[in-house]
Amino acid sequence: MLETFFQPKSVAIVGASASPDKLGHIVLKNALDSHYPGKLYPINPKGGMILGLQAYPSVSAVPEVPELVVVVIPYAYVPDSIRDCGEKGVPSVVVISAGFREAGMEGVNREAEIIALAKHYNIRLIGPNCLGVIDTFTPMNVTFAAGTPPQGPIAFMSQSGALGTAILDWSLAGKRIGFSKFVSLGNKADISEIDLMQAWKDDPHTKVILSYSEGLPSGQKFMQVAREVSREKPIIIVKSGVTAAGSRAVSSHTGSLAGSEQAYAAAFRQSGVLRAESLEDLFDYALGFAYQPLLAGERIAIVTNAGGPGILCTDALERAGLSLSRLEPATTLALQEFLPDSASAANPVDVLGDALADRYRFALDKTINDPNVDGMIVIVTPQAMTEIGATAHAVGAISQKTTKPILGCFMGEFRANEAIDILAGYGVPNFPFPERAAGAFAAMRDYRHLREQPDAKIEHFEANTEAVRTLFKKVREDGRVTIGETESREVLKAYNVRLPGSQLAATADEAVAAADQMSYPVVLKIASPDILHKTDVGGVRVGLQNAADVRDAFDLIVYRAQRYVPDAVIWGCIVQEQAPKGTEILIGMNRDPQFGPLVTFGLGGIYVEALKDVTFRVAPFDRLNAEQMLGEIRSHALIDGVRGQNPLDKAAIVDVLLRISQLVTDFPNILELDINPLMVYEEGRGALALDMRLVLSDK
Amino acid sequence: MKTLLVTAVVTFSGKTALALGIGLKLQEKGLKVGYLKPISTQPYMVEGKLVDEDSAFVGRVLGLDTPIRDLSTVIIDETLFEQLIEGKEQRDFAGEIKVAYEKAGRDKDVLLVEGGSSMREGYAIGLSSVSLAETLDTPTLGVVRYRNGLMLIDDILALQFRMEKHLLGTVINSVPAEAMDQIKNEVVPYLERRGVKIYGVLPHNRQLMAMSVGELIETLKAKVLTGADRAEALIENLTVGAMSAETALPRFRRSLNKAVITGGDRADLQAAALETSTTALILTGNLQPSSTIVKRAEELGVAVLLVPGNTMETVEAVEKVFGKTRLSQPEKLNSFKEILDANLDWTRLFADMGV
Repeated sequence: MLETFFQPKSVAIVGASASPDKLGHIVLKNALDSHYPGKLYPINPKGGMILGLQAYPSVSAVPEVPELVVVVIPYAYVPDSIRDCGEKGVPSVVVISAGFREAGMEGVNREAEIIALAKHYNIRLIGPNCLGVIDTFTPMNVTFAAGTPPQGPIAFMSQSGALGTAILDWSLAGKRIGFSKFVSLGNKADISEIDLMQAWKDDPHTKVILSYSEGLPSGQKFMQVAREVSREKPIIIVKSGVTAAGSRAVSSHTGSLAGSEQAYAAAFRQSGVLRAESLEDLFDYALGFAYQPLLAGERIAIVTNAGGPGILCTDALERAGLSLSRLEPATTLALQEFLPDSASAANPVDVLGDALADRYRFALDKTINDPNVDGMIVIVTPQAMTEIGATAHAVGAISQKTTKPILGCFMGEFRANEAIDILAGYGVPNFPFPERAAGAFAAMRDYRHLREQPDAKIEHFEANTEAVRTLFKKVREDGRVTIGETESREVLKAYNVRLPGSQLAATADEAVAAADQMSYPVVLKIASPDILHKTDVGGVRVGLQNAADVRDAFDLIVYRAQRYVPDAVIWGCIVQEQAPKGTEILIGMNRDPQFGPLVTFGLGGIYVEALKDVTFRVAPFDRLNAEQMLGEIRSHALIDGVRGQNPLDKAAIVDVLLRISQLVTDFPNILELDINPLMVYEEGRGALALDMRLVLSDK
Repeated sequence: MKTLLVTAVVTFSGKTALALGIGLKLQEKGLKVGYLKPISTQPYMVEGKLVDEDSAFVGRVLGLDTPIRDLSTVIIDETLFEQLIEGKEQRDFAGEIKVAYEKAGRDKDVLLVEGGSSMREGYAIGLSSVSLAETLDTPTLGVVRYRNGLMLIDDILALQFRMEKHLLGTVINSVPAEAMDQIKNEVVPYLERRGVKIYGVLPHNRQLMAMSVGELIETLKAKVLTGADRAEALIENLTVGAMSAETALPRFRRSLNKAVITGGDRADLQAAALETSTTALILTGNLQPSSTIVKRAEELGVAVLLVPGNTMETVEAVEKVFGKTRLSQPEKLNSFKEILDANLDWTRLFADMGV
């Protein structure tokens, strides 16, 4: 997919220029300097020779059909240029030129024009308003960045071109990180993160996909593609615009409402995408995935020549949910024999400040080969006697003999730099501080869990969708969008969510029969069109425990009603199941503008309102995800049963979650839904939905 | 000559609209209709004389040849108010009204008298709706706006108690769809049993309350960024956007065909409004919105208006004109007539009026 963007046989650069201060000149020069092996065609109306190449007045004048055209001309001429490409049959175009959606109303219209042209001619388009494209393996650099980054296994796309230049510049300085591909997405008029993820899924040169995104174009499609791609290789995204002020900036860029922070978190998780909170995290994580094997377990060993950093590293690992390996007795024994007495032979293994390369080599070798170790962090502080270069070689050599990941933490800069370069030669990433190395391992662990999560198996429940459709139609015909307690009973019934039973009984016998069908206690209420305020006439009796209570209550209520409202028509009594006290659970749904139905789960009352102790999934989701939700809230112990209480009926909660997931998927016109509360009882005793409110779309 | 006093329990019940509707229906029957609003508290100046806003409108629509200033008798303005409380006012209000009443009814088949806008109005000059009905000895029709079932019953029974024999019956106005069944099947039979005639139950109609984008532009002297062709579109609700987009979205979703007032720099709230049923975006502070927002609004057919004032000032300006039924647009007047024909028992009312 999209091969012509990355390995085109020929490239035309529209706007290529002989004057070195023009962007078109820089793009052509970068293409030449990157040793692009295909044919290059500078396009310039003046013709002549540019940087030693024959220039053509237009794309149509080129003797062959260029597979890729890069457009670097003032915006006013871009539409004509695209038309020119279209007539020629060019399949792919990168528009570097600015002056589109980012530049006012006219720019917005201009962008719409080039999208329409690209569609018409079947052209795929990157940009406009971008930096260009780099593939280091082709090799080809058609950007106006200053230079081509080193080759490596990282593919990086960025919605900010300027950010791209900074990252490329950084990679050039250290040569410790290399890229397979770089794409500046620009305004994403056509090609977006989704297309590139798909294209890079099977790219043999790419081990990890990175993205800086301000917003994603189509939430559900993104999730589907990301799920497929993340099975193959990690996708790490740093998403900006998650705070209220940040999302305002995104809306102003895109004209549409950004997805909520919770929706992004849930969607990334469900589709196996790793979320980086910062650019630093993005590249820290990337280094681990790019250059080291994947962490197979959660047990990490630390080998250090300094106590303090070793403890800091231990804390960081523990905090990230990783564990410290318990070394085998044989390993400890061997270490004890070889290391000085004051050294620590237990994890973290402290080889002491005077350790030379030899001591490190021995300790590293013993430790990494211990069966209880899944990964290792090597901490080296540059002390006077430290053989920093030789130690780095020792780490590198061991990393090449093992299938377990090793991360370096050679601290400092002045002396450490030499070692870090040596490590990079072996493909061992180095982190300046132990916490960041721990973070990289945590990302590996997270990715493994995400990747191992089986494909969602969406269950289907029998439901009376026709009843719901009819109700919704009626509500909309009334000019309403909200549905309250009474009408929502029908919806819950249609999806077989248990409600407190409710039935009209004309006689005392019927009332007893109805109550017997429910579970006691029950409530009886007078049923009369002439009595509005039932309690005023003594028309309600609660807490009826058995058949005899029901019979007495029926007679009493009807007698009172006849006495107080002599001419009232009396239908009988409504028998209602009285929901016993249980644990209140909240299940809600809010349709996210980006990802669609976002289902919320949490304990009701203060847990939701004050503690915001809730968790989210994008519907539809499967049983496994529903079960995970129960364990994710901080107060999950209350569900499992604390202090001698029996656990709640988890199966019943999961069942309601799944039915609601289906309901909001079946009916995209439900914008909001709240079951508050779902009364949940002890294991085996089920749950009752006491109240539900819905908001429908006006469309 | 037959007369009918139309009165209400609380303000904004739909009294003027109902009087107008009855007038038009009577005219259709070929009868000569007169109109008088004895007491007015909504004065404005015409030809150097204070006149009442509603009566001027009714007079115009009914095509009365009576000069506007003769349609309302006692206009309570600041000056009169001060004179009243200082005890300097010695006018014979009842006498004046009787004279005006005679004059307005001359050569007419039916005279419609519009009473006080609430049961309390008029006490200041010694002429409440009750004493008006007594003074003029005229049958009275009450119009009661639905608030909830209990308040409705209370309002109507209070009317019955106060008006006594003068009350012909009532019209229940503005009943929301979800309450309609209960009102028709339970409340109306109940009230009839208690001896109050209910001539009609009128459903709530948002469009009657709505104001058009054009009216809004005029009221606010707004600059139109897009949607100049949407001047006829109706705004049924008004919402202010000053919170976070996440909090705003649920509120925006529940409010249909609305105008959203928010800052020109609040792209998130503008985008949230565009996600939901919005007729117009009113952007305050003269801050130009992002062009992507304007483009999106254009695609969705939402008018975007730019105003110089801050959000508070703009809200106040709009609220002054919002929420009051203005039948001034022919389409609204027509739909109100349709509502009356579908829900009001004209035969029964006219029989009781004796026309």
